[in-house]
Amino acid sequence: MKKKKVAASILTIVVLIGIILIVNIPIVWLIMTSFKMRPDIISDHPVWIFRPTLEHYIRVLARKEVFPVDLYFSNSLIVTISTTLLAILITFPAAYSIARFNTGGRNLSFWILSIRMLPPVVFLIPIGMLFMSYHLLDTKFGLIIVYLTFNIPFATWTLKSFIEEIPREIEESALIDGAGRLGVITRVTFPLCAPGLVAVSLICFIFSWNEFLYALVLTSLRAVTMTVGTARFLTGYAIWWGDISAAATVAMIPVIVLGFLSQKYLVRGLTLGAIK
Amino acid sequence: MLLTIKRIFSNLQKDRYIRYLLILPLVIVLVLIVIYPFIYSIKISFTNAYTSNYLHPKFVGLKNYIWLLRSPKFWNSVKVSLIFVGIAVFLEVLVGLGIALLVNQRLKVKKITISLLLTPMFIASAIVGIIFRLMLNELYGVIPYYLTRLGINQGLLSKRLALFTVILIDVWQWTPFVFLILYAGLQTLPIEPLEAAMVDGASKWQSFRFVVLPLLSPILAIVVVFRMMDAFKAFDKIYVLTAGGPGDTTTTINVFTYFQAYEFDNFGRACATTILFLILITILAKISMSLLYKSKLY
Repeated sequence: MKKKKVAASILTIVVLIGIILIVNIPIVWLIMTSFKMRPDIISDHPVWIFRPTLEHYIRVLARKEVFPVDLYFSNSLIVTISTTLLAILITFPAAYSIARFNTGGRNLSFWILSIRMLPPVVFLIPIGMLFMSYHLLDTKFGLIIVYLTFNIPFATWTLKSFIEEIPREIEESALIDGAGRLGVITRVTFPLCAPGLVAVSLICFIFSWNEFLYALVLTSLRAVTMTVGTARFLTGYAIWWGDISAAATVAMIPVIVLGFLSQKYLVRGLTLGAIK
Repeated sequence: MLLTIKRIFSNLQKDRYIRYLLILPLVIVLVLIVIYPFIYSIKISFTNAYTSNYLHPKFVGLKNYIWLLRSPKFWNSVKVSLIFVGIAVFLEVLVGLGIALLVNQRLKVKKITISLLLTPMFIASAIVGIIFRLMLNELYGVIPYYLTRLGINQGLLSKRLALFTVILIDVWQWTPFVFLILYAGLQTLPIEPLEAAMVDGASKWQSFRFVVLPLLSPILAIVVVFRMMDAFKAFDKIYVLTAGGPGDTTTTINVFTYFQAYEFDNFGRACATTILFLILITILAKISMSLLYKSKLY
């Protein structure tokens, strides 16, 4: 009996290690490629051990006319941070209103949730046309606004679940002490909701940083983001895999780090507050 | 004067008004970025709009819709989307549940194991597309190399297998999500029913089938709904990896719509496609919402 148990647990460990390898090898392979010299990249058999080089990173950083990595990176950063802050600014009061006063009832909140489920192309084409008329194409401002389409539903629902958890009594005692409702929201509820705000910010950041389709269509030169810039490398006859891998690694590392940091909140955020 | 302002302000401070005041910014923004574009899209779908006439397009009635409903390419994209979503979500739930049950045992390094299982879901889908374009390259890709060594000589991006490959990549990318949620779900299950089953002498399979699975079903419903809706959104990695090809084999509705608008410069038709797409999604969303509602978690 005991032997059987030991065998079973060894089997579990072996299977799990196998799964972890399958999950991570493609990512590791991309990072490895970014450090390989060209002959190792296009070799006819996979090269696992090699002399690393930084030439691709140096070239990506140096050839600004082909790949202005500093511009793309700062665009991504500015757009992502702005849309995240804006989403919180808009949704926190709304989430409060829904959580505390049930404003709009189930219909409104489920309508907001259903926006989260719509594919981006549905918005993309009309918004792209409207952007043409309003001269918002290729602007960071345009992207910041468009990213609200997916950040708002997510943030509203998640914040709502966090606010519902704050006991009403705390707010009520402040109200009795003579504070106005707005004062209570800004000075009592908002700080108490800090974990929720962190969770929402982290996940909005990841979503927005990784966004591709809107940025692909709505930007061309000045507002190009990191993901789109990297993917644009792929066109042309000779694909410079080393350079692309280096750029992709740079685009990927910040979100992987943030992802691990946000792990505590991930389940709650990704299920919009349903599972805690 | 000052008094009136003061009174107005103190009136606004009352909950009756303030609840609407608080939600107002959200409503305004949603009207601007969701409802207005949506109405605009409906309007454009009845015209022949393209880049140079889109401000004053010609009204063409139902022409775009009729063209779409008669077009085998459109129906093919519906079919590809349904196959993609159906198989991908099915496999993700199956594998994700398996991994969740595996991790849910006594393990020493649980935290690190979970972390290491999540990586793909943080990466941009476009970069996932780049990763697999590199790994699937015919000449120097790792995956074809090892498959050939194993005696499998199939082009994974050939007409026959491209959709299957794209599905597997989606499974690679999103099974971690399913695993994470289901694992968290398993954590929240009450322990008593399982103990009772053990006392009654239920086998491992029986206690899973008749105790764990029913208890887990609300969470399974959530996972299926979220994955389904997100799988319908998949565009980035398909665009980067196959651009809908070879032929139309991986052209989902998203890719089809994108090409109508930005390759064939036919905004009218593209908008009509999104409206039809919306109808399809709404039907699925209605079903999903009732599932979520039943799950009693919202």
